[in-house]
Amino acid sequence: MKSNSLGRVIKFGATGFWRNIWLSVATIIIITLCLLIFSSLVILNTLTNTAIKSAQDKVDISVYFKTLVQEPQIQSIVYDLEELPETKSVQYISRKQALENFTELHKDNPVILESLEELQENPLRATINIKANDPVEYPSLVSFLGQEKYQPFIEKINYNDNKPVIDKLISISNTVKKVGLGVSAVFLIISLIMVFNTVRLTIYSRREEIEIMKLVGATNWYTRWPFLIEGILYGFFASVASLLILYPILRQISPRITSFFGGYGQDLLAYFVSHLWMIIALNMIVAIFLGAISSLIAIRRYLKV
Amino acid sequence: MIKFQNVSKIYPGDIAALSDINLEIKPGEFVSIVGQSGAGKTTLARLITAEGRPTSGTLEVFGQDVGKMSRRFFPRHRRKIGVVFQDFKLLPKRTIYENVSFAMEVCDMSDEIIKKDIPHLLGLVGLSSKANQFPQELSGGEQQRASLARALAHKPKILIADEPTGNLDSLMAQDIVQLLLKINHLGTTVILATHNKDIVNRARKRVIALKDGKITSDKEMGGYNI
Repeated sequence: MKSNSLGRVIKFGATGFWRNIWLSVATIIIITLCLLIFSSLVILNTLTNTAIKSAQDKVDISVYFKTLVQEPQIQSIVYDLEELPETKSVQYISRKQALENFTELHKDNPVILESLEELQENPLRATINIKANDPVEYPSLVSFLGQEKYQPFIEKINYNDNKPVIDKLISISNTVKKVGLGVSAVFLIISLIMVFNTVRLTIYSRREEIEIMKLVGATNWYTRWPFLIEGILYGFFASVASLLILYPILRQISPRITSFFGGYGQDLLAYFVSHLWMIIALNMIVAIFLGAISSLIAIRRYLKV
Repeated sequence: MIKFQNVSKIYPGDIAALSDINLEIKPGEFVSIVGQSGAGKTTLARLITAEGRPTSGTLEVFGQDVGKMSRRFFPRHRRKIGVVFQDFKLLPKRTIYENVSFAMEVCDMSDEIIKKDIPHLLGLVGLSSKANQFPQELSGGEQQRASLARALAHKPKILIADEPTGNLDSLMAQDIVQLLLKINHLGTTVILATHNKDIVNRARKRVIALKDGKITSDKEMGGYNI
């Protein structure tokens, strides 16, 4: 196509967009809604993952050592554990520290403190708290600790107490992820169909125009271009609108979500702002692609004049 | 220039719009096609512009078999023909000026020529003051004349006017016929489909009468007598 013609069809398409402004607005609203659904799904999935992660983070297994075990022994076990790929972190709490924690915790309760004095000796055991990268890896960590060579030192592993909770968490998070993905897919398909149908109706209402353009000798592409330009404009304005709606909503909900997850949650607004250009670009690409492709498909049947 | 050989056009439901038409129109001719509505005038015009293919027979336009022409060549074919449509077929959301300029842009005419020619064309059909109005703001007769201005804009070799005077008073109708004769005089082949007796008799040109899809008479310097 000559640059002259391109200029002409762009101008023709832009004029068509403004002259049919109500039709354009209706189409833009639908595409905007679909983009908002799309964004909500992304946010919801992010939140679900954050929620699952923060719950998983609270799970650990504690290993209690016999009181006579010396610190170097424990250090070497910690070292062994840290070598394992499944291990995320190992926290060592010495007997002395455990006692300090305990006194700190009960500093307002003289009865407990007094009974502690009575004992004259530190009754608390050294412990290590182990976190795995993934909850499904706890059983293998436990069996690692079950080796013969560690048995003289270990008093008790509390995994079996926590096992039902951990198993439950694994199954819930798996289900939530699956359901979230399924629901997202369904809504995505619904919104795609909605956009396509709206654009199809828009084109349908202007099928006569297409016929006339063909009858005065316009080629298929010369007829398509103005509608393609209009489709691109729908996508452009819809993505701008959806971003303008999304931003204040995120500003409202972001602090609440952060406080709800007590520091574990991501700051959604900060995420939005730091990824602003990517989000804008993605929005535009999706919307413009949607508008343009829908127009191209919808116009096909009316070109056969 | 246009040659119908045993051309029939049958629409779905066994409706024969044209049957066994044999007709030759030479370059530079002025042909009136007369007949009552439903006689096949519009179908005849549509076949020439490839807005439908003959069911049987061959139709040659500009030496090419339109019935076998690939869709790809329709645009180029149509740009050599100007049509005043019975139902005007003006783009609804475009001004009269834009309607005419669109036809010229499609034919790849330059901006300078478009700017220069349109005022002249609109003056020719008496619509200079309506250039920036939309079709729906115009009367039927005005829309018809806008359609004529558009049909002439790209300087076609064949001009087909389908009931171009249907919405005009008799004075305006005569003006339009004078205009068509002038265009013909400048070398364009003109096909005028009408059921208006006055204007056919006034033209004093070749008249072809159609009835129920068949040619019933074909006379040089004919008159309208059905």
